[in-house]
Order: sequence, then C-alpha cells, then structure tokens
Amino acid sequence: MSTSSFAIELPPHLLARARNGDVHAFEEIYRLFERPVYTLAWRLLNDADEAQETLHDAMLRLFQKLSQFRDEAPFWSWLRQIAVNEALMRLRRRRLIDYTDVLPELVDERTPAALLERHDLAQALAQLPAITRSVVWLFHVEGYSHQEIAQQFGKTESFSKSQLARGTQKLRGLLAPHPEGLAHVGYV
Amino acid sequence: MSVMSESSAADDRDLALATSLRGLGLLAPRRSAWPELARALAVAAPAAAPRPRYRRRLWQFAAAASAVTVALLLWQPPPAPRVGLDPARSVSTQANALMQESERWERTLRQLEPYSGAVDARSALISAEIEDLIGMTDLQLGAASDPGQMAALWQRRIGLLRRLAEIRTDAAWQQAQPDQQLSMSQFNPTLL
Repeated sequence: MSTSSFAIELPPHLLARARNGDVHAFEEIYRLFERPVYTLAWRLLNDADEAQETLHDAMLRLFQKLSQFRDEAPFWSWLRQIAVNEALMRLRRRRLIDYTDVLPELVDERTPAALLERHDLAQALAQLPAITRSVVWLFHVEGYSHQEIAQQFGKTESFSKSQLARGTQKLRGLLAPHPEGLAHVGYV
Repeated sequence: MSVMSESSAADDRDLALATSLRGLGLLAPRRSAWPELARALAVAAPAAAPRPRYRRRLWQFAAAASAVTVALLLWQPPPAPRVGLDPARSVSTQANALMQESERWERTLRQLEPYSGAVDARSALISAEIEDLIGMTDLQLGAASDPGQMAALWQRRIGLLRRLAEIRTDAAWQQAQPDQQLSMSQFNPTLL
C-alpha cells in the first residue's frame, strides 16, 4: 500500500460525474488533492508562487485530459504524474537543473534544535540542489522507483541512485550538528 | 562492524529518513486555486481549435524543403514590429495585432521547418522546451478570458516563436556556411 499523500481512492460515481463535465465533481476532486499537489510542487520547487502556479496548471491539465484516463492505473497516481511533470517542467524552465551544482554552505541561523526538529529537516531539504531534492522526495516520500525517477529526468538509474545517495549524505551532514535534534532518524 | 550490519544500519537510517520526510506533513496553498480553475474550465469547455504543434512534423514540409532553401539563405528576419501592450490602443486592436504577428512568425517557422532537424543537441533540447512552452501557452490561451491576460499570453507566444525562429535560422546559416558563426541575434537584438 502506498504511503503517498496522493493515495486517495475516488468513489467511482465521482469520477464518472467528472468525466461527464460536472463542475461540482471537478471541485470535489480539486479539494481532495489540493494539498498533495501543492506539497509535492513546493518540495520540488521550493517556491510558494511556483507551487501555486503548478497546482493550477496541473489541475487544469488534469480536468482537460480527464477523458483520456483509462483506469489502467489508480486515478491518484495519474494525477501525481501530471503534477510531477508540471513541477519538473518548471524546473527546466528555470534552468535550475544543474547536474553539477554544489550545495551552498548552511547558514546556521537556527534557534534551539529541540524546538525545530521538523523545521530543521524541511530547511535542510530546501538547501539541497533542486535536482537532488526532487530525487530524494520522489523516492522517499512518493515511493517512485529509481527506474521511474530516471525516466522522469531522462537519465539512467545510476543517476537516480547517486543523486539519492548524495542527497542523503548531504542531509545527514546538514542535520548532524544538532545532536539533540533528529537523533531518532539516525543522524547522530 | 560487519559489512552486513553496516548495510543494515544504512537501510534503517534511510527508512528513518523516509519516515521523517513523510512526517513533514502536507502544506496548504495561501489561496485556493479553485476560483481561477473554475473560470478557466468554463471558458475552455467549448473545444478550442487546436493550434499547430511544431513537434517533429518534418514529413509535412519535406516536399517544400528544396524549394525554400535558396530563399532561406537570403532570408532576413522581418523588422519585427514588436507589438507592445499600449494602454491607448483598444483591446481588440491589440489582440488582432498580436495574433497577426503570431501568424507572421508561424509562417516564418513553416519556411524554416526543414532546418528543425539540423540543429545541434543543445539547440534541439532548447527547441523542444520552447515547443513545450508554446503548447502550454496555447493551453492557457484556450482557458483565458481576461483580455489583458490573453494579450500577455499572445506576447509570450510571439516571443517563443521568435526564439524558435532564431534557432532554426542559425541552423540554416550554419548548414549553408559551416565556417560562419553568424547568428540571427547579431543583427536582430530585439530577440528575446
């Protein structure tokens, strides 16, 4: 069973109504998936405005393509793929996909770590290069395989594996200075 | 520590990381995108006539390729009457002018189509991205209802078409004169 926040099963009648162009059904679907789509976009893009635009564009594309959905995969995984495509397209537009970029120095402005465990993790994640962060998120949170991630980026599986290893190592390095924080995730 | 137990510890750490990342929870947008989506869907409901896609349609133009080659080598870019968003002009006049300019660039691109496959890998990648963006702009145009937004989208579309024309013109020049590094942008600085 998927642990993705997208993994919401739609009632068949809701999908049928949406396919018939019922705008209320569209709205219901939007409400169900608003936060998963926005969260995915935010984590990949690390920008609130772009995440908002991605939410809009992905949902618009979903509704316009709904007639093409064939029930071969769960609806949520189809929507998630649309959202991933939209977010990665934005990364490409930004020209931020730099496979050689280096991690910036961590500016340690953190307040006592015990207060900010989740914040620290989110902040560390945000400091990863965009491509590395995307791979880490798609693998660990959305459950994509290395093969699937490689396809998204037009790269090999070893690219996905190395980005993941690199991202994990960087996260470990970023979080290590706080022994009282995140001890439970094995970074100390 | 044995290799096996080191590997197991690493797996545990990754599992813990995945759990922690998932524990970051869901984020909510600052505003709902639904009102805008509802408007877009209402406008887009009548199926808009699809605009031409530029992706890999060489076969449609192959027959015309030889006929236009000479003309292309002599081709100069149009003086590019860059249509601006002048508040003094009526909305419909602006929209018509933008659409006409877009059509002009489409005609130019049709002439240049035989050279779309002659670009280097980097230019091919950029061209593919521009084509995607044109497709996305068309999608947004199909959904837009606000005249100001539509004008901005038409402007964007024109800019993308011009970029594509620039790449193909470079390819045409280089194919004709491989030792020259002449770029259209050298004599048309208004290009994006």
